[in-house]
Amino acid sequence: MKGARRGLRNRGFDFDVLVVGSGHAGCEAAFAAARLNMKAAMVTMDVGNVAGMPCNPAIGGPGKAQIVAEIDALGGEMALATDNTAIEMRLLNASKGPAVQSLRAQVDKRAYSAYMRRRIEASGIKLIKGMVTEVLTGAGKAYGVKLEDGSAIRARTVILCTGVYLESRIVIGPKVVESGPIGESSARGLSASLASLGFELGRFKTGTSPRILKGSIDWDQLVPERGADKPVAFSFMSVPMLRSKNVCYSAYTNENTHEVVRKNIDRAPLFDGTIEGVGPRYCPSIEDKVMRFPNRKRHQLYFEIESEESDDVYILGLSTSLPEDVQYQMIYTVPGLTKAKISRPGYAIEYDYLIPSQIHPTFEVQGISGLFTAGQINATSGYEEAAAQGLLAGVNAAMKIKEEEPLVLGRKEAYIGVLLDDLVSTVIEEPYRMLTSRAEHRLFLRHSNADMRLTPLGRRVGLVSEERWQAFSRKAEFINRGRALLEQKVTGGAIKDLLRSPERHIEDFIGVVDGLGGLPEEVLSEIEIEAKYAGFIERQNREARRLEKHLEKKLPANVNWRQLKSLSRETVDKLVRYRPPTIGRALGVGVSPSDALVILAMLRSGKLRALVQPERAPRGE
Amino acid sequence: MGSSQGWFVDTVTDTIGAIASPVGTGGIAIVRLSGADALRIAGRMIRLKRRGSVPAMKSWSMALADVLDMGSGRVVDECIVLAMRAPRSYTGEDVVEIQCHGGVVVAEKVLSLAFRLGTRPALPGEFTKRAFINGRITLDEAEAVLDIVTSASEESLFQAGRRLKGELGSMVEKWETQIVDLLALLQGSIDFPETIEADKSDIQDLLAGLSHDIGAVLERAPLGLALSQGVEVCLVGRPNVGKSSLFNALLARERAIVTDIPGTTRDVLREPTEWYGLPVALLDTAGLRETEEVVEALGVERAQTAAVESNVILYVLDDTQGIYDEDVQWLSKWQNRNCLAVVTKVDLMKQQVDLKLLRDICQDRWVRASGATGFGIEGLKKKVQSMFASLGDPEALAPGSARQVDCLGRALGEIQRALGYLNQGWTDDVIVLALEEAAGSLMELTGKKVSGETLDRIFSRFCVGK
Ligand SMILES: Nc1nc2c(ncn2[C@@H]2O[C@H](COP(=O)(O)OP(=O)(O)OP(=O)(O)O)[C@@H](O)[C@H]2O)c(=O)[nH]1
Ligand SMILES: [Mg+2]
Repeated sequence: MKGARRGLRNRGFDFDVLVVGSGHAGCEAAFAAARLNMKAAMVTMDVGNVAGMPCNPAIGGPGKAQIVAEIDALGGEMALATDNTAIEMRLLNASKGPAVQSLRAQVDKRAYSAYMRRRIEASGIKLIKGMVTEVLTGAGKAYGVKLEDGSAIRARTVILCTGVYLESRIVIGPKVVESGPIGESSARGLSASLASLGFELGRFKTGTSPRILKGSIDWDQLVPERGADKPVAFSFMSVPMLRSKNVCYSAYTNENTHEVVRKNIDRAPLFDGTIEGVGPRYCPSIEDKVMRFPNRKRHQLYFEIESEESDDVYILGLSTSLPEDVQYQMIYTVPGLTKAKISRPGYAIEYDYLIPSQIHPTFEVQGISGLFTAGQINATSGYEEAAAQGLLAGVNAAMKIKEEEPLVLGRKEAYIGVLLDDLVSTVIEEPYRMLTSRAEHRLFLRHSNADMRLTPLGRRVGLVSEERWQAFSRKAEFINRGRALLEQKVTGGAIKDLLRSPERHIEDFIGVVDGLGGLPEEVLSEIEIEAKYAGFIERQNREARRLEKHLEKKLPANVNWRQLKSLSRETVDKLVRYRPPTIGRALGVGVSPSDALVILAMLRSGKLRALVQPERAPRGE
Repeated sequence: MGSSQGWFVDTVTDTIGAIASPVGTGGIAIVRLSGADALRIAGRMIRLKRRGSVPAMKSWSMALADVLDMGSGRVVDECIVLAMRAPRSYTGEDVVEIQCHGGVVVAEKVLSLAFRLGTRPALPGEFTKRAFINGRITLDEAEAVLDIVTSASEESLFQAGRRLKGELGSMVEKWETQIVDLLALLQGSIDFPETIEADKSDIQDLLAGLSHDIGAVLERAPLGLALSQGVEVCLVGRPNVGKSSLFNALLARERAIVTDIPGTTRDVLREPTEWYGLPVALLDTAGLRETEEVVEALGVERAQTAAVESNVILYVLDDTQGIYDEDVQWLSKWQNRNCLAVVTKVDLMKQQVDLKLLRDICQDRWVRASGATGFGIEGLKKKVQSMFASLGDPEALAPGSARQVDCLGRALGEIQRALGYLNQGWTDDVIVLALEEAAGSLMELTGKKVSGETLDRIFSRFCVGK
C-alpha cells in the first residue's frame, strides 16, 4: 500500500490512529485502521469490556441488518463476529418483500466480546487502559490525548468512540450515580475539552430493563419463540447455518403490572424532573408506555438469555428507571416471574453527545484536523449504527494519513449513507436509530446485494482481503452470467420481464433455460429480486438517467458554491458539506439530477473554475 | 466508484410545461412545453386547421389550430401553435408554444391537458435552467432571469398554498392523514415487526374510497380552474337587442361600442369584474344570426362557443321587439345550463316580451333591466352571485390551479398504482413505495415531508420499542 508506513517514519508519534473507546464503533475503527496498515491503538477505561452489549444481546433487525451486511461487504468485522457467536437467528419481514427482509441475531454476549478481543489482539492493535480527559490540539490539528493520570499519548489521528460515557449518570429511582453502564465509571473531562475547542454538545437519555436470573424464572409459563427455519448468516463469507435454538421466550404485562406503575409514578425520575435528557421514541420505558397508552391492556415482553456462561436474562420491553422495589413489584405481576430475582435493576442513563452537524461526512470534526468521532457520541443509538461509523472513521483517518481520497457513502448507495447524511444534514432530536423508513431507496439497498454495492469500494480503499475479493469476484461472475440468461426470450417475452410479475419465480424457468440450474442458490435468488424490482427502481431513478455518461466528470475542489443563485439551497448545502469530487458523487450524496445538469453546464463553460476560492483557515487560528 | 453506480441505466428527458405569459394580463396567454416529448404531446392535443400535425411542423413555423379535450372531443380553444426544434429554441430542446385566445383561464385548461399527457409542471425558472444547461444562454443571463423568477414564484407559491383552504383544504388534509396512517401501519409493521401487526383487511376499501374521493374532486377541476380565475358570464342574443349596452352597464364603463346598427359587435370581448365578492369574467359577443358576411359569421360562431363554454349565459331579449322563434330555440337549447334571460330596454316601456311565454320557458330564471338607465343591473349581478353563493367559497370547492390539479392527479395515480399492486399480490415494500409517492404529491400542497410525518405517526399511534 502506497504511503502506508509514512506515519511511522514521522518521529514523535506513538500511533497513526488512536481510538478512544472499545465499544462497537471503537472496534471497527481500530480494525479498519489496522487493516489499512496503520499503527493503531485503543484506549479504554475497561479492557475487560470490549464490544459489550449494555442493552439487549441482539444484532440486526430492520434497517440494522442491512447496515451489518454493508459493514461486512466493505470488509468490517461485525457480521463475522455475529455469525460466530449467534445462538439464534430470526428472519423478520420474510413476507413483506425481499428488500425489507431482515435478519436479527441473538448472540452470546460474552462470546461476542471474547471474539472481538481475540481479533483485536490478532490484528496487532494495542489495547491501553486509561481514561482520556483531553484531546491534545495545536494549530488546528489533533496530535493525541491526555489521560487522567496526566500522561499523554501522541497520535497523528484520534477517533473518539466514547459511546454513552461522556459525563454520564445513571438513574434508578431516587439513586443518581455518576457512572457509565454496568457500574463502570463515567468519562469525565472530555466533554469540557470538546466544549473548549468550540464544539456544541447536547444531552440525551436512554435506558435499559432489569436483568433477572435464569434459575429464578418459571420457564414453563413463558412462550418459546421460534428461530429461522432455514440456514442463514449475516456475512457474505459465512456458510449459512440453521440457528433455531430456543433462547427467546415471550410473555405479556397485565393490568396489575400497569397498576404498579401508575401507583408509583410519582417516584419515576422520568416524570419528576430528575431526568432532563431527550430519550428515543422507539425505546420508551414501561412507565412511558403505561402513561401514554392508558387503554392498552398489555404490552409484550421478550426474554433473551444473554450468554451460556452467564445467569442473566434480558427482558425486552421493560426498560425502566423506577426504584428497585417498584421493579420487583412489577416483575412479580407477570406469570412465570412470581419468584424472579433481579440480578441488575433497569436504569436510565444520561450522557453528552456532539451535535453531529459539526462533523464532516468523513467523520472528521469540522475545524480540527485529524480528530474523528464515531458512534453514540454522534447522537446515534445502536451497536450497528455505531460500528458503521467506526468503520468509516477508521478508514478515513487512514486515508487522511495516506493522503488518499476519503470513503464517503451516499443515500442511494447504502444505509450507512442514509445514516451519514441524516447526521450531517438534519437536526437530530432523539438518539438516531436506523429504520427502513428512513431510506427512500430501500428497494435497492438490500442485505442480499450489499456485496455487489460495496465490496468494490472496500477493495479500493484496501479493506477487502484477497480471500473475500476472490469470493466476491466469483459471485459477481455468476450474477453476470445469470443476468445474461434472463435476457433470453421464451414464450411471452424475455425472462427478466416475465419475472416482473409477483407470481413468476426463477424456479419456473430453470428447466426452460440451459445453465440457469447451475447457478448457486443465492445468485438465483438475487437475479430474481433484481428483475422483480427493476421497474420500481428505474421509476425512482428516472430523472438521473440523463447523467449516466457524465458520472466520472471531475468537479474542482473549493468551489464557492454559495455564489451560485441558479442552484437550490439544498443542493448548495450538500455541495459545501460533501465537496463531491465528481458528478457521480454529487448525485450519490443527494444533489438533484436537474441541479447536477446545471453544474455540468457550468463545468463545460469554465464557470466553475472561476469560482474556486482558497481553502478556509481551520478552527482556532 | 463505477460499479456502485451501475444503476443509472438509460437516457430520457422529461417534458415540462407552464403558462409562459405573465398572469393577469388578459388577452393572449401562452402555454409553453419543452422537452423531448413536447412535439408529440402537443400533437395529441392539437389539431391543425390546415393539413399536417404538430410533430411534422417545421422548426420556427406557426399554424392555426384547435386545442381538443381528448376526453370529450370538444374544442377547448382556437390557438396559434409555434413549434421550435432542438437545439434552435429558447431552452435548446424541442419547444411548443400554444397561444390561447381565451386568456389565462383557457391556458390553464390547455396546460392541464398537457399534464394529463405526461408533461410535468415546470419548476420556477426551469425553462431558463434548461436554456443554460443546453448552452443557449450564459450564466449571467440565466441568473438575471432566475432572480426575478425566484421572487415571483415565492409569491405565487404562497398564493397556491393560500388557495388551498376551506372544504378542499380540509379534504386534502383528510386524505393525507389517511395515507400517512396507512404508511405508519405498513412501514411500522416493517420497522417494528415484533410490536406492530398490519391488519390489511381494510386497506383495499380505504384505497378505493380515497381513489373515488380524489377522483370526484378532480372532476370538478375545470369548474375550479374557471372559478379561481372568475366565473365566465356570457352575454348572447340576436343582433341589436342591447347586449353591449348591458355589458357596459354591468362594468360601469364604456368598454364596448354601441350603435343602432345590428351586427356591431364582432369579436368576443372579455373583461374581469367582481359582483358581490364573486370574481367574474364578463363576455360580450356578436349577435346571433345567419349571415353571409365572413367576419360576422366567424363572430357568430365564436359567440356560440363562448356561450357553451361559459359558466353562466345571459340571454338578452329586447322588450321593444318581443320573443322571436329563434329566441325560443336558443333558450330551450341552453335551458339546462346556467342560463338567465334578461329582458332589456324596459325603460322604453314597450312591453313586447310576452312574460307568460317567458315563464313557460325559463320559470323564474329571468330579470328585467335597462342598459340605458341602469335599472335592474344590481339585481342581475346579485342573481348571478347567488347562483354560486350556494356552492360556497369558489376557491374552497375545487382545485384552482393547474399545479393543484397536477398534484391531486399524481396522488390519484399513485393510489391506483398501490391498489393495483395490492390486487396483483405485490409485497408491502412495493405498496409502501406507491403510497409514499401519493403522500408526497399531496404534501406538495401542504408543505410537509413524507418520512418525518410517517415516523411521527408510527410513534404517536403505536406503542413500539424495547
Ligand atoms: N333606450 C334604450 N336603448 C337601448 C338600451 N339598450 C340598447 N339600446 C340601444 O339599442 C341599440 C343597440 O344596442 P347595442 O348594445 O349595441 O346592441 P347589441 O345587442 O350589442 O348589438 P350587436 O352588437 O349589433 O349585436 C343602440 O342604439 C342602443 O343605444 C336600453 O336599455 N334602453
Ligand atoms: Mg354589441
